[in-house]
Amino acid sequence: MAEPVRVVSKRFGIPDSHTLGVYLEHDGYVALEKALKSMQPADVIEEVKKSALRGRGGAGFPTGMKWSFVPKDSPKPKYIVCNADESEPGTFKDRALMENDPHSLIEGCLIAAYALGSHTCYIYIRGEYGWVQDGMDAAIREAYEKGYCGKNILGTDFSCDVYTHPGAGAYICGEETALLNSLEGKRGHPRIKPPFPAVEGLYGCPTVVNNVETLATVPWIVQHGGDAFRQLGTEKSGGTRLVSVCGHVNKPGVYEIPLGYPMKDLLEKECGGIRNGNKLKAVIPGGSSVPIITAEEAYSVKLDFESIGEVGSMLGSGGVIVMDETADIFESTFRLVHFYKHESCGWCTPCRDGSDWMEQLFDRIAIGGGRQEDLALITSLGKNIEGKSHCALADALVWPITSSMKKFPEDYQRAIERSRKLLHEPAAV
Amino acid sequence: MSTDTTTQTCTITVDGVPVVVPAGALLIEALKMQGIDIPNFCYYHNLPAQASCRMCLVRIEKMPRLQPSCTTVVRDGMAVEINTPEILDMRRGMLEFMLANHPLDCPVCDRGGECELQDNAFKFGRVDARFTEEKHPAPDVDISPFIYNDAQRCVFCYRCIRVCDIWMDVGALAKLNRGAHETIGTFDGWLDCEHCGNCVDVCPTGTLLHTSYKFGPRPWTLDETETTCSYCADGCRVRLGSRGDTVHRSIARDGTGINEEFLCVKGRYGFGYINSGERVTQPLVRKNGELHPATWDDALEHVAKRLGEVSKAKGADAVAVLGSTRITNEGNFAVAEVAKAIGTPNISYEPDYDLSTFMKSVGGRLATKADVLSADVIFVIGGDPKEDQPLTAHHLVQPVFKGKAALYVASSRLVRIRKRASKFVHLRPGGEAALLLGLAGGSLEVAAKAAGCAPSDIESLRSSLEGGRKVVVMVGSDCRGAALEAASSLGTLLAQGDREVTYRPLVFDNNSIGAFDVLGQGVPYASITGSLGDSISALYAVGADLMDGEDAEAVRARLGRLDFLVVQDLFMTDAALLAEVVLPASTYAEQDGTFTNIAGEVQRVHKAIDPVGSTRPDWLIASQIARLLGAEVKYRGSVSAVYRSLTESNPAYANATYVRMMTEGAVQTERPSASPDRSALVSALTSATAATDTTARHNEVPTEMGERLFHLGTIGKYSKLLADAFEDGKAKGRSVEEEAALIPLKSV
Amino acid sequence: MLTPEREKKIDELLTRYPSSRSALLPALWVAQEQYGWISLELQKYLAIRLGITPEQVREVVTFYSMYNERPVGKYHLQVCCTTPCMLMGSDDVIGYLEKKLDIRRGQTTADGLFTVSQVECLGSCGTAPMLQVNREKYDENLTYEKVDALVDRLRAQAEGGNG
Ligand SMILES: Cc1cc2nc3c(=O)[nH]c(=O)nc-3n(C[C@H](O)[C@H](O)[C@H](O)COP(=O)(O)O)c2cc1C
Ligand code: SF4
Ligand code: FES
Repeated sequence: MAEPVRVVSKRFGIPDSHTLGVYLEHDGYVALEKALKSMQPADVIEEVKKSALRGRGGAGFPTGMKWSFVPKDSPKPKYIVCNADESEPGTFKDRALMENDPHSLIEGCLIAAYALGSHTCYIYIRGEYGWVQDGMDAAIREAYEKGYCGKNILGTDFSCDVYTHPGAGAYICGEETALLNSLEGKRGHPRIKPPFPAVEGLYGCPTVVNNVETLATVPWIVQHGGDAFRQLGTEKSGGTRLVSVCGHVNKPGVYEIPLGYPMKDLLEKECGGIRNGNKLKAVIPGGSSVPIITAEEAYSVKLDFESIGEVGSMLGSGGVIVMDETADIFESTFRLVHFYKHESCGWCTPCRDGSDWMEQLFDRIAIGGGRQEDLALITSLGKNIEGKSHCALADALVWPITSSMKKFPEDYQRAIERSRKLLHEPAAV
Repeated sequence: MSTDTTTQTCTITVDGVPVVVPAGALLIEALKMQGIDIPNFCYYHNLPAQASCRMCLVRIEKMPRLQPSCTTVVRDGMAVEINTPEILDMRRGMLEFMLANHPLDCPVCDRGGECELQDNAFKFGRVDARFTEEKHPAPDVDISPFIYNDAQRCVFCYRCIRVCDIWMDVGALAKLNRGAHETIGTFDGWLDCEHCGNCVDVCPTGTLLHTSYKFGPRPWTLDETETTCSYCADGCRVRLGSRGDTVHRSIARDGTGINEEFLCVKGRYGFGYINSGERVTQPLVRKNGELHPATWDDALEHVAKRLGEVSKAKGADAVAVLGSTRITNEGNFAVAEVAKAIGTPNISYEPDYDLSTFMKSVGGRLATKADVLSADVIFVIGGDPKEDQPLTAHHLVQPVFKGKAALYVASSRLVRIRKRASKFVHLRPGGEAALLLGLAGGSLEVAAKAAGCAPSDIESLRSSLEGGRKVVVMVGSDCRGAALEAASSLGTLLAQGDREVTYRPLVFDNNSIGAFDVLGQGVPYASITGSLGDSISALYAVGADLMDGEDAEAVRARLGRLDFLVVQDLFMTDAALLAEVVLPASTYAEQDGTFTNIAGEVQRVHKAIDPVGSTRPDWLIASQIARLLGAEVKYRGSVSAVYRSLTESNPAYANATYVRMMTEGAVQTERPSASPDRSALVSALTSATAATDTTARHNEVPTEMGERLFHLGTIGKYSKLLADAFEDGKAKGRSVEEEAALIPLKSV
Repeated sequence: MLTPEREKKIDELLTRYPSSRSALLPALWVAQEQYGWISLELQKYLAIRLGITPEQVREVVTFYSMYNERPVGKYHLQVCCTTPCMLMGSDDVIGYLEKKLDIRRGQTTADGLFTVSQVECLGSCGTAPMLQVNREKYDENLTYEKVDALVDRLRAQAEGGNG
């Protein structure tokens, strides 16, 4: 296989790639100029549709289709909102993008705004990324100074403002409607859908919410054409995408791969194999919310939406969490349960009370007093939560549990036995 | 979000059975109309959808996930499953989650017996307790003098929060913390609000509760009587819960009246005066300078004898009779019979609003709830319903919130209702007439100068009013004389157009309009009080706050010069202390009758408890006196007969029969609308404008929350819970500065 | 209650959104930067500043985990312990910190310098274990030695700042 084409990460590693000067030296704002000066908004949407680009935030919704849901004739203002909340455990690609190549995101936002008739973009950045926001702000300032943002961009009659907006520590604000509430200065509770944001979003106006990587991919698509992008991946999953690999590999990090790339190659070539020559045990292939897969499945699966579905999991946010033979799947899942309980926004009953109960159950098993029946209870609680909540967070709590219980039952059995022992030998705690 | 019931229908199947439902309805509401109740907690009609409790989930054909029936709109052909094992399992699971951290203390919970959580757990819950972990305890705390919060029982339906935001437009409740640690709370632990208690009534669990009912009797042991509130002219329907001769609570949870579930602080917590230990419970007659208990027969005979003596000695005119804006129509009618029996024209009552001017000039129907809710323009001039007419305020913000109506407010005070206005015109004191002159097309410059606002204010207000199709004009008591006449006939002053204008006089007392209807055509109140001790030597005063004004001392001196004073009241008022005879009256809770509300609607008052002590209803006492004075009284002992006589003598009431009230609730009286002369109105406004003191400075002090809402009058004073709370400032609302700084909430 | 520059910052924030309420989260950051935490008094002040109710402010403050309603140490050491970090030994790091500073997670040292907290995924999973001081750029790929050096550096910084 030839050296894979790099789309969104092509400027990674270039010194000062975050500055406007360097960006311009490497195709910067070429696509914006092309769009503004030689394309109609509808043409831009068409190219994005052709590219088969699917959202990189987790749900994988076709981006061109999402854009076409925005009513053309609405008298209300329209908004572009970039989802830079990146809080899914195992995911750190958007940060890499914003640190290394902030202008590609700005350019992507502006092209989206042009395509959709919007004049305001907000980039919602998770609260912890304070310095990342500072970097984005600096890049935006440069873009304003050089006429890429603000009034009459590149001398055309298209005007658009770009702002960053900080979160403050709430995973749920990655969910797009919770994000919009948060952007409106409210608690981050997801909204009732429908109406979807494309019709009634920020301030009740048509709004497109896209992930950082999704938007940063758009300039390349506009520059090189949708077909060119699509051909980089598989028929149904167009192009390339970033994956962030963490856990027990020798070289964790952010890699750009063409869709359909074998997971085995990713782990062995890009990531330099499993640490200490250990054996692979499990992989969570798309951020903590997706079902876990076994080593065998990981070695056979390809990284595209379809083939990963065949092993019962998802590409999600592209966060690959790798666990070697030393990992205890009960413990690693317990920690995720704790995470979801902590991050449940509290809006709906199954998630709020279910995650709390689930965590207490795991906790009791972990510290002693676990019972064999607890495993059935976990399954039953999971059933009462899954598919009944207001947003997908509760499902994201259940999937890791049910998938890990199914694929690594021995770890759970061991946890119960250990727990029984702990109860009878409290001194050993 | 209830949807308009249109005539269009569609057919859906429910567990395989086809049912016809209104098109566009919410599934949960459509099913309710069919008598099918879907269990729920967070859904509440009249509140925005929330879909958080997940109790109402149903299976809808072709949908991958279960769907909340509280947000699903019915579609023709939709197949719904509501009673399958899957759904029953789901409900059981949801209740199990809600009860996991619940203290399960029904035996000591005041909500026991009327708790939606308890009912649903009984119907759908599971018997085995699978939750064996530790609960997160939370102590119950008082968050207001009236309300306490037992946070551990909460199911997070947020009905209370939405009610506070949207019904009350107050927003004092908050969701605090996140996830499993979430609680309902307030900004700093204390409710900064109007203490209406509606949040408590909509709570489906025992989380928010009334301190007045803490460890109260079990609800199912109460006798419940629906009647009409005795505080303000809005006339909310309340349900008094009593046991024996004690009233334990006042609620509106059934939502059958014009107020639906709404009540304000007075209506809900002001019932304490009924069983107050300070009630006068037996007749008192003065002997040797001291008041002594007497029998009813002795007291009544004494009254009849003395009134007869004075009338004989000094002429019938020397006797005056006062009724009240607080007592029933039947009471006032019987009081008027006493005057008739004596033959004196001197009958009156203390008005709280110049209704005779208003009614003389009112250019249309009195605005009902339906008018307010369907209005597209609402104009409030010279008053503040937020403080004085809580139900009116609640109704008028609803269409404003929904963006269906625009509110305009003009006042010389910085009234609280201005927060919701599209435009607020701040007048100088006395500037109402000038503003109205401007609206009537007079010179903008002249009008604006006298009104103390910009000419453009008047202009834009006029075009907004003229642009309305259904206009409601609310006329506050700051409008007097020419301004009152003009405001109550604003429709005639605006440019001609195709619009319906209805009017609401912002009267305050619960039976102001009734008292006007029954007694109002008599002699002005001031001319009676001004003649006491001079041309008037005997006074029969019923429910009259004679000494509540600034001239109390002058009145005291005049009362001292009377030959005979008989006071009929609930409490030993200052006037009663001077009386020769004190007749103990029953409260509204102890009698039947009617009140006429702010919209001129007559509503029934129903007896909830037997008269306290040996008190008697006003109508009974007065008719007994009239009979002793020799009048032919047809209606011995029957309040419905009194009312029938009233309807016979007052055509406005002819249609408002007890029977109609029984089926329709509130029945509007029918009064002819006046057709005032436009040019006369304009010339009156012109002279009033010319007489306006243009040096008067604007009042820049915002009215404080509760300044008048908590203005209690006699009955409030004796309702211990209310009085204590307001006296020591515990129920105080936001500070003036805060209130002033808080601009409208942009979106709710 | 805020310094003139911070007031200016809030004025600028208010120009970004069609609704002043939207400026709440960034405005709370501005306030927390100055005080380290956000008192009820400060919340009320911001409510009036943005034209919203105090309840609307507190609802938000208590929802987002990064706003402190109580004072924290000058240096808030937030150690991520979510699964990816746990796999790489974050529990050892936080345990080491607790022992070193002689406090439990959630507590503040007696001198008011350090608070240690366990937090959820910070988006630094490939460089685990890691922690964040206040809202600074992360300290990543931690070892005990790196933790020692960090604590020393912060102590010196605090002394320098005072002297
Ligand atoms: C609980 C939850 C958390 C999410 N977190 C993120 C996130 O951190 N970043 C993100 O881009 N999308 C996140 N999403 C997905 C968004 O809701 C949304 O699908 C995405 O921003 C759309 O952008 P895309 O189409 O470009 O992927 C999350 C979804 C859920 C349900
Ligand atoms: S609004 Fe008036 S009528 Fe209604 S409860 Fe309050 S005081 Fe009584
Ligand atoms: S799990 Fe720690 S940074 Fe992601």
